[in-house]
Amino acid sequence: MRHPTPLIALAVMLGFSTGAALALDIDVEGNIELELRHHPHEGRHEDMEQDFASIAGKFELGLFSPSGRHAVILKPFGRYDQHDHERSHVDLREGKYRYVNGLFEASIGVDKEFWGVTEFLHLVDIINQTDNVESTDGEQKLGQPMVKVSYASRFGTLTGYALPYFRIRQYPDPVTGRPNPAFVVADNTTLFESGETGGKARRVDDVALRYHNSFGAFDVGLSWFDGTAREPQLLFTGDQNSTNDLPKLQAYYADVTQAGLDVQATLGPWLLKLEATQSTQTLKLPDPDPAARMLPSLNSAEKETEINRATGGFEYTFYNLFNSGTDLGLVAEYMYDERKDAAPHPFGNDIGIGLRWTANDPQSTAILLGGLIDLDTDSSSISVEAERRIGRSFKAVLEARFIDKVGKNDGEQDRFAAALADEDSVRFRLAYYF
Amino acid sequence: MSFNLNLTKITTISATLAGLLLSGPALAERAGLPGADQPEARGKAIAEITDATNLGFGNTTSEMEMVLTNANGDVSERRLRFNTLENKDVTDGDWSMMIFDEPADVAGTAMMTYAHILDPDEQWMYLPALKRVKRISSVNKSGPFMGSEFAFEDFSSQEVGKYSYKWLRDEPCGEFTCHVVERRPLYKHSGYTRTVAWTDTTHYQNRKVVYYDRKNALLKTLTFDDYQQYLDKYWRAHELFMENHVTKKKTLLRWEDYAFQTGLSADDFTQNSLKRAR
Repeated sequence: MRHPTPLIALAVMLGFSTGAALALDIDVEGNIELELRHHPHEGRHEDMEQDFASIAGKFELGLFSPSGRHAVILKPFGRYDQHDHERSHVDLREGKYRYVNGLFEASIGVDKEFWGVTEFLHLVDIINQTDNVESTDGEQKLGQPMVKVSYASRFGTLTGYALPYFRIRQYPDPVTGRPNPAFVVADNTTLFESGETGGKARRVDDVALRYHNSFGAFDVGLSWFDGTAREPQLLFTGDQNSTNDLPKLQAYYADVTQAGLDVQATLGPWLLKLEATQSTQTLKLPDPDPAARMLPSLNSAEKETEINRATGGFEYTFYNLFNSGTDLGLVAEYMYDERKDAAPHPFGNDIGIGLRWTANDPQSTAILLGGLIDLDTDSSSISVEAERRIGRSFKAVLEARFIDKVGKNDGEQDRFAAALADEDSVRFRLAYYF
Repeated sequence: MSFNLNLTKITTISATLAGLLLSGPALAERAGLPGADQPEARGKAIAEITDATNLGFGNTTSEMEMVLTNANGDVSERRLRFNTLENKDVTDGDWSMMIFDEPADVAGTAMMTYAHILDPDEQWMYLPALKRVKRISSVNKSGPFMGSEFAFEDFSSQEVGKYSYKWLRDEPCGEFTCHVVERRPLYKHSGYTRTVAWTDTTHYQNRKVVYYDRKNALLKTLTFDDYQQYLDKYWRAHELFMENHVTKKKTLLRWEDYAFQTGLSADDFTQNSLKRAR
């Protein structure tokens, strides 16, 4: 909903009683969403639920000066989940003041920044912490406090970031929550490289820089980050959660420097994409204790490690397929981490394949089919997502995610796939937009 | 996706003026226009005159309502805003920004286009939910725009160099006399073998366009209405009606709040501006 008329009344409300009325453009929009989630498999523990109802809302308020130079933007988000107390959360996705003058832009406050070009895995994207309880695909992010300065010259756009606070990653409720990753991470044991512990947010001096430009068919981004790793190392503690006997792990956030490159070539219907990162951080090495199962522990030896990762592939779209007016897009991307199986994430040597069909009808019907295959273990997972607008203001989304196969490498079971083998899910969401 | 269509640059003149112009048998032919014995040159010259009527418009902002009607009569609506910057380099296309307001679930989505003549356009899409700018392929010419009966190419900047021309005839068209000119797309991936445009001989603006599909079968007809003149020079049609003869679906575009020379500059067509679009 857009209100282009100046809101003098607001100026009065804000207490500008003098004649100098403050004329502002105000934008208000948002959505309310009902979500029903079903997990067809029983959980590891009897307390784990199979059916979850949840309600979420996102509200956006923008105040803009008539010249457009000054803006205040607020985007709070909240969710209430019937069973998962960690998933019931509120977050200020954005809350910032922004100043624009020609090609110069500066902002202060909570914001979200996306970097990169690929679809399955976002490697260079590092500014915001993943909102891990909101969705499992990593696409949802927590608001990040920052001061940002950007200049968009004809020689490219240069943006600098000061990130004074770090926010930890949240995990589903260890007792009732799903998907349950077969471990428990307690917020109060969170450990930082400085040796400090605890806290959901921490005062830090993280910084980042990004350069971006388009050269004909090529869009190129270079980025550099010096700060707290967004992805923790999970440490074996030997403790177990009292309620359900799951191993209690400790999240360890190292300091990291990361250099990133992202390139997209847009050649007719082909989009060719590459993201690569080189990061340096002090890693804790795997604990030799068999009970630790390859995980490091608090007192593990440490080693400053350079990690090279890359992902890339193509997207090809058949536009107006057989003159039907519908489009069919094919995405294939390879994911690589030089540590392969030893990487603390499942994307060491994997292929992702996606098929996107868009009807281009008045209801914007679309179906997305995705598959991930681990080339080392042969594990595979599949996701299906279908969406359609209903009437003017509603949108329905049906989403299913399941592990297709838990594979093995040298007789060792794929630990990521195994952990999620019984965590398949079907989600239905109905959102009302205003 | 420059929205400064030459398609919209239809002239309207008062009925009296039209009557005067059409009354005499000695209908004034535009000086220098090649004759009927050179149909290709005559067709191209007509397109060049049309193009010249829009020269120097600078920049515009406008809003558009789109009403989609299917064969059963069901109606759905969209609202968009457009910012357009004229490219001072006449050998290149215009820059434009398109911002979606309705339906509400796509509000804030925006698309920026640097149009070119025969080279593919450069296009970026901003997805507000992810705050992601994505460079997209501009190959999609023939697909439907937002589920409407307009194809993407119908919205593209209609630069003279994008077509070859052949004048067919002159004939009365409503209160005007029109040149009837066949255009064949020279750019790749078009959904049409040809289009036929009726351009009035008074102000050299298009009045009707008929589209023929890849098999050269009649596909759809676009008509223009409610023309208004800006800055005493630039004409814009405020109602464009597209009727698909095959699917029987219809789309009405209703333009509102055209503003010229609004102070837009190249600074307002960067990826940072695309992210700020609202």
